Amino acid sequence: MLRQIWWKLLGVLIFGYVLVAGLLTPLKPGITDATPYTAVAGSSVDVKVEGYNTHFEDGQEQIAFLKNREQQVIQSSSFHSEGNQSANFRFDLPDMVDVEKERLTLVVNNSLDGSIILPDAITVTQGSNTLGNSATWKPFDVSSLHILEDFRFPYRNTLNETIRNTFFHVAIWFAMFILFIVGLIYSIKYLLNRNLKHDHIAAAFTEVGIVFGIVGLATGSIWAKYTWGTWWTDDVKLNMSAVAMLIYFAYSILRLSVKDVDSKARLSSAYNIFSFAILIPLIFVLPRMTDSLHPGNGGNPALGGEDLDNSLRMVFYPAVIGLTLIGVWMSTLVYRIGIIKDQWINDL
Amino acid sequence: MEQIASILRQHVRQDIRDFTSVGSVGLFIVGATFISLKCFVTLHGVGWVALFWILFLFSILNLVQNAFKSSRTASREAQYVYFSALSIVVGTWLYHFFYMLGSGLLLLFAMTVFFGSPIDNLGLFLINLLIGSLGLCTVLTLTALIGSTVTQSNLLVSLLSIPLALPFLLLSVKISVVASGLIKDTAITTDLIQLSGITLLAIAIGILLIPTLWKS
Repeated sequence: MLRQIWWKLLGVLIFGYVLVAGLLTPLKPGITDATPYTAVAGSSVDVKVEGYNTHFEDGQEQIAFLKNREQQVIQSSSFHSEGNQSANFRFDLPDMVDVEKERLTLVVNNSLDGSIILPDAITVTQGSNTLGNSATWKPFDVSSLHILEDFRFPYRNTLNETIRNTFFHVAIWFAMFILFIVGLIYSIKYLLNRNLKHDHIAAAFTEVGIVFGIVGLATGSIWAKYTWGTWWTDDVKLNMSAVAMLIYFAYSILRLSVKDVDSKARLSSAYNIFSFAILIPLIFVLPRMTDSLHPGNGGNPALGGEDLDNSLRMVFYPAVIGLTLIGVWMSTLVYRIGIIKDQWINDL
Repeated sequence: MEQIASILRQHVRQDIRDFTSVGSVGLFIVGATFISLKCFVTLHGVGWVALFWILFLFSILNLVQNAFKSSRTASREAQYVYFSALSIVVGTWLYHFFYMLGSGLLLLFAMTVFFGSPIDNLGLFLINLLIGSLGLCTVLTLTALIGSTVTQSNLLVSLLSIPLALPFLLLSVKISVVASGLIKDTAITTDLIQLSGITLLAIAIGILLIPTLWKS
């Protein structure tokens, strides 16, 4: 008994882990905004920092740095917090020697949050010196900083908490592809050996794949509403997934409209192979060659670099495996229903 | 090869004898263009290109839906005995291709007469029309072949072919827009290569699948 159902249990367990870890793990602290955006060299500036998940009040040893391109920093001279999410840091900006204008990166550090970085936070322009020579650039001493050791998901501006959708939206597309590929393999198998069982398997996997595709579109649409501001945009990848879904809907309708079992199997297998062959360039090749809002297209990194760091990987890969296992389970159920229906029709 | 040529000849001869299908497609094109003229009054740029490809798709859908329908007459049964499945399908496919080119040119002519032509780069547009109709014709011939064994085939053929035709249409529309000078695109050759690529892929898979689709 256990030998037959262990993978189903495993799938459910893994998905349970994904739900718990994916939804409950907090995000790393991040800076949502730092004002003003501009300052004049050789003067003091009060930077108001708005944080997310930060501990400006509770944390010890609050300190902030402004970092220039040569990895030199100036430390904040004074600090006062307005709650955990908001704080004021005063910086005495030194003269700039070589450049007219420089963008400085803001680094905030305390004992609870570790280092929080906001790149290109403030643009400093040349101005007359009112502070004397008291303020100077110093080399950045990284060893004195606090480090946040907890298991946390990265904080990204505009993504915020929706970064968790990676485990559902992206993973469900991966799982859908695996299901469609299994369906394709069984379609080819059917055409090679004309075993009706294989056609039923292909149909089952494809139908579950369609369900996954619909969920993938829905989760993507919700995500787009929060990050891009609309439910649907004219993005290549969106259009292409919509076309792919249309093709697979046509496949289902083809299966419904042909009554004879053998010709149904033959025609739908052929259509499945043909449409999959057109689907591959659609989803993998074309979007990569044009600009897209999605990661992985038009120069955005996808599964590498900063977008998928190790904490996300710890949940994302299990999510793919868990959803695939659940998909396979659903497919075996659909397959058995198909077989029973066939037998029932034969008995009539 | 001879078989394919002979199938092609038979198709053309049948059309000369029975003018209905050629006439109806021609009338559809001119009529639809005229209706669009009455609706839009004037049409430029993207609208023109979009209308062109939509009318093109539907005019060839009309044609293709009946492709393997007449396969049940006595003369076609004789064909089945003498010719191989591959040559019948390839012959019909070539026939569709020439037919589509013809209707595409007719549509271009009709729309130029009624609306004027926004196309700057006619060479690019014609190459695009050539490759685009090759791809569309492959998809449509294959779906017509699938539909030929089903009773309610007209609806099914359009249902099956429209999503499959979409990628070809999207690329063709994009290239046409560039050809009409609305967008400057230096990477237009990659678009053409993409279009030819998926067309070739469709042809290759189509040829592989013909034997399995035919035995009925």
